[in-house]
Amino acid sequence: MADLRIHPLFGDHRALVRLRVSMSNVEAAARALDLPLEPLTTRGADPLAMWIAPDQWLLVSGTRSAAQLIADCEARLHGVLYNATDASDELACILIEGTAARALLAMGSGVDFDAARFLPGRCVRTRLAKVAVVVLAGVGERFELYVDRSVSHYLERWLERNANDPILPS
Amino acid sequence: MSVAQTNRLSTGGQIDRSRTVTFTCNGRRYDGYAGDTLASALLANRVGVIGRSFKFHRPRGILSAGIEEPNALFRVDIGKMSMPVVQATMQPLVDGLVATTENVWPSVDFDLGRLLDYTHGLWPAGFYNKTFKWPNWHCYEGFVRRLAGVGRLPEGADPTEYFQHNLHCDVLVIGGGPSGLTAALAAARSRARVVLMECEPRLGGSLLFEGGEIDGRPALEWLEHAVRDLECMSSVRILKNTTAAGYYDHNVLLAVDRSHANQTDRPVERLWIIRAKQVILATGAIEQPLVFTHNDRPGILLAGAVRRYLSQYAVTVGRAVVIATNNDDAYRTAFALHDAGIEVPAVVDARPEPSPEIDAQARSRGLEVISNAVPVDTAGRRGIQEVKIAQLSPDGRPDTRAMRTVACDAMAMSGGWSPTVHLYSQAGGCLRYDSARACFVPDRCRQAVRVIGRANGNFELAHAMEESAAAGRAAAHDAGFEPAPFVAPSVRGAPAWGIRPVRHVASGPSSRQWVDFRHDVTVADIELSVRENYVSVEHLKRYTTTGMAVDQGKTSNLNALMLLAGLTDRPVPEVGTTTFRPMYSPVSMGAISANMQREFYVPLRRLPAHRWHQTHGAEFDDYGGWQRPACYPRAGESREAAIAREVRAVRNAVGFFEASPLSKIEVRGPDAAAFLNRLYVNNALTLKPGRVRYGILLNESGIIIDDGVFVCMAPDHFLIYTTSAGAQRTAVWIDRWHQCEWPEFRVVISVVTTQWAVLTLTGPRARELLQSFDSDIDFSAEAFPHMCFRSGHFADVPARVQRVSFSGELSFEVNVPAKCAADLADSLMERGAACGIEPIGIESLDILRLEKGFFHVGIDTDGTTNALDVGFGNIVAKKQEDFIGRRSLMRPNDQRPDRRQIVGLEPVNLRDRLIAAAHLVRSDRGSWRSEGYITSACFSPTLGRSIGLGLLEGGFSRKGEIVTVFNEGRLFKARVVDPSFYDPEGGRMRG
Repeated sequence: MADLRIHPLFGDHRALVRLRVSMSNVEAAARALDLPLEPLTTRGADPLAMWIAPDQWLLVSGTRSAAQLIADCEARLHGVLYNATDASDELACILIEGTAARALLAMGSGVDFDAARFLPGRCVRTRLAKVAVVVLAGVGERFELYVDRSVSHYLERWLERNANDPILPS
Repeated sequence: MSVAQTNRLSTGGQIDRSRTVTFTCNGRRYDGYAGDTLASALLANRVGVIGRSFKFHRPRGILSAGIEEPNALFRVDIGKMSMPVVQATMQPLVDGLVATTENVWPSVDFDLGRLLDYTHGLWPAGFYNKTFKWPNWHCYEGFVRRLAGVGRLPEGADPTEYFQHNLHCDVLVIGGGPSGLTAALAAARSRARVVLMECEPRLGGSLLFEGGEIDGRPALEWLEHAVRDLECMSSVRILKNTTAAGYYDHNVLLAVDRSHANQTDRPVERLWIIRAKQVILATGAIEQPLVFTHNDRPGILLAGAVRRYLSQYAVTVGRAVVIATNNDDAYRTAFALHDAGIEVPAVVDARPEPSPEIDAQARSRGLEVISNAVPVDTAGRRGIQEVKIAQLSPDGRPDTRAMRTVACDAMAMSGGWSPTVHLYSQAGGCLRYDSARACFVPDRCRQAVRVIGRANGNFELAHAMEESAAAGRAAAHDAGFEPAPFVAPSVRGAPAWGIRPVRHVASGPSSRQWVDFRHDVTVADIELSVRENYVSVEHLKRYTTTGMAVDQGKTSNLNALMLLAGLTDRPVPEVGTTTFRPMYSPVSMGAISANMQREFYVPLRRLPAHRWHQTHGAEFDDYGGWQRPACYPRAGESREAAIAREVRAVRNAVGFFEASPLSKIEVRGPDAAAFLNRLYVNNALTLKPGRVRYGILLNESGIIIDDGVFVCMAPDHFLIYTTSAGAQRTAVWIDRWHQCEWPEFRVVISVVTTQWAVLTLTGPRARELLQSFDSDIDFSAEAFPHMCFRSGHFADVPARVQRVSFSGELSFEVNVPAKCAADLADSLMERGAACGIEPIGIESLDILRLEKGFFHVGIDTDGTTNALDVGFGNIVAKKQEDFIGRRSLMRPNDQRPDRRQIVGLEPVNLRDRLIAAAHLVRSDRGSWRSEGYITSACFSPTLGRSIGLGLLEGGFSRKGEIVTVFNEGRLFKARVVDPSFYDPEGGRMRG
């Protein structure tokens, strides 16, 4: 675990928006906002759209505010039944990077985080260490964990504790 | 001073003789070598009696060399680590290890518990169900429980760290013997992700001690190459010291990894949860004992184990070893012993003659083979000293007239091998009896599992290798990979495997013939079971305990089944087998709880302003999964005094309370109002934008499941608040109604609970405080009446504010983005100082709402309380539209006037205190019966007396009546009153 780093993005001022649309409007919304329709995938860079459920996406932007993202949804989702809500305060982001990152994630979740399957750009919403998280795979064994802020302290401690298993690759 | 290793051969074995390991067993120091197990080291040191049997406390020695060991159970202490009931055969020898036999008193050499053996006729199977009836079982329970069991839980903190991992693979191979290695190699060549699991520290299985040639080179050399090949493949993961203990549906398996368990500085145990597309079981087979009189004497071991100790550990179990067998395999033990210079006085074979090849080898060594004969008894004080042998007559019974006695100091017995099918059985696999091999073998299974090698009854290594190679390729193919060419290793000199299924010979007292060494079950116990008509194999198991618990019948099931078949005159297949259950071998509770211990047991949630509360002296408690301030006691102030002070602050000035856990659910869409109207008892269609309404939620039976307010932000945009404890449950429940029952409603539901912090200002000076901040929200009474909602900015942050009250005072719930909570709390406290602001905790809020008479769902209601029972009859009657639970409220039983209805209560004698959960009782024909109970109670700091809410039969019509309260054996009187004790007109909160 020598190169393993776990750290919360305290200074994370990125805007996060949850977008949920009516199931009958999913494809229309995806076309209008260039959202991924394939499960467990992402699209775009800023905003990055993460598929988290058949009718839900998480939008992340480092340059635009949540209000701007919501306004953008409003402007482009004419005729679409949807609700876009600011999640910037709701979710905290914990960064895990290093050779042992995948093994550490697998300690808390039944998702297959194998490097050949969970490629950079993939995302998954799962239960990790008993709490709901969205895991986003970045390049270079770097993973972002989006977790409810009320339990982020717990998850951070859990990751730190389990990173001590001597079997984790270094 | 340590004892010399008198039973260690001067050469051979795979131990590291350059590294002496010192250990202690039952107070005596011994030496062994690195590479030994505790069992091999004890045998090397000629330690015969290593424990006492479970029930009769008979002296016992080591029986086997593997996971099937029933006798050699120790408490093992290594450094600070202490583990009970450790099998010596599975415990690697480490420096400083201390092994202690636990179920003995005063010592393993002289155990007073042996009195039970001398009086064994009094303690047959199931004796505890037939005895100890007078005066009752509990008089004997303590004594019996002290005698029972084989170990004690260690005391003090457990130094072992536990971790849990999930692992996915395409092919999981369990068993690192020749078959498992071959299958793993074959599967891995196709680039499938392969996990190879082995319960021992080294891969190789029988190759480590059986010798032979594979692919034209010595078996150990082939093994070395095979292991190196596997280690070089990136798609292969090898887990050594890891035992698969449970096999569940969907090819999910559970395994315990003890590869770091014996580290003195930092012991670690690991639990693997493995999801495999394909599973290959190469779990081998377990040799079965023979059943004869006094077959449990120390010095009597399984023949394969004797061979293993000799070859792998250079340990002989004795200097004169008699072989007793019903098959060819045990002859290999005889040959190995003879070749090592150990005397083999006789080979007793139940068959008329061994295989010709075996016979020739025996003759060439000059071994005496006594054919068509069986051991019928043994003698010896602290271990076997002689064995009595009888010839079998043509009817298969021993001819005791022609008995022969052979002196020896050890015996190697073999009743044949039984495939290790425990995991296969756990997976749902069915077994069939193979009469040619005299054992149960795998038949069919609904899961994607293959069984190979000895575990499949394929005892010939050459055939097993071919079968394993094919299984590895097929498993990879079925997992979605193109199988790569792989040639099965060729094996030379595969031994013969002939067997005659004679495992028990009726001679001598059956109560002295052991079937299950672990549970001290004898042939007499099985006979008794049959006499009492427990002839189903499942009944036999439970009646006698054979094959139960951690042992899972590894060395007893087959013999018990065959005995049952014989005693009931049925063929073995008709008797069948019991169901093997997880765990295959014991798993520590620490490993099971692994990543979920201590602070990780439950993820307790924190409020947005958690640190603020900490710095302001909050005393935290767990409320509905949240860590929340119970109160804020000052230095030297009691909890009760702090709560009373906080209540007074709210009644006289202003209190600050963080209510962020309140669930917030946005419902948006043209049908939002209609959707809410269907959910709530209360009318949502008439709610105008900017207005707030209280509502209760019922289930289909009309029972109250949650409550809260809902806000109309816009005609197509509503915001629901539910209770904090019910937040997640209610959000899921609402979504389910939309998704599953009413998808026609054009709404989208979004949970925004933790995006918004809720800072509540409550008290007569709340408005004054809020008005001192910059805000585009007009907080005046005219502009912002009770039960209204406004949004805008407050103190430069976006805010959603509603005027609702749970305290009975003027209250504003200010919702701001969660990250702003702590800063805003600081500002509120700073400016509020002039208004007498106090932070208040949940305990004082509970008193405030009780004084006001507001009920709390789940506290003042239970699983029987419907909307009518809390006074919502008028609202239900007026509502024209349908809602969840409405139909149920129309049932006569739901409208009965004598149902338990919510009332206020106060003691008649002001010195009496109402207690929550105390019953309200009435005398009914000479006896007391409950007519309700107190749901909430407190001493009101505002009113200066005890008050409470309760559910009382016919409560609505009993205002003013005196009822009897029963609390902890004491009766006192209370008056039924209106629930609203404080400001019943509501002028203060509407002001």
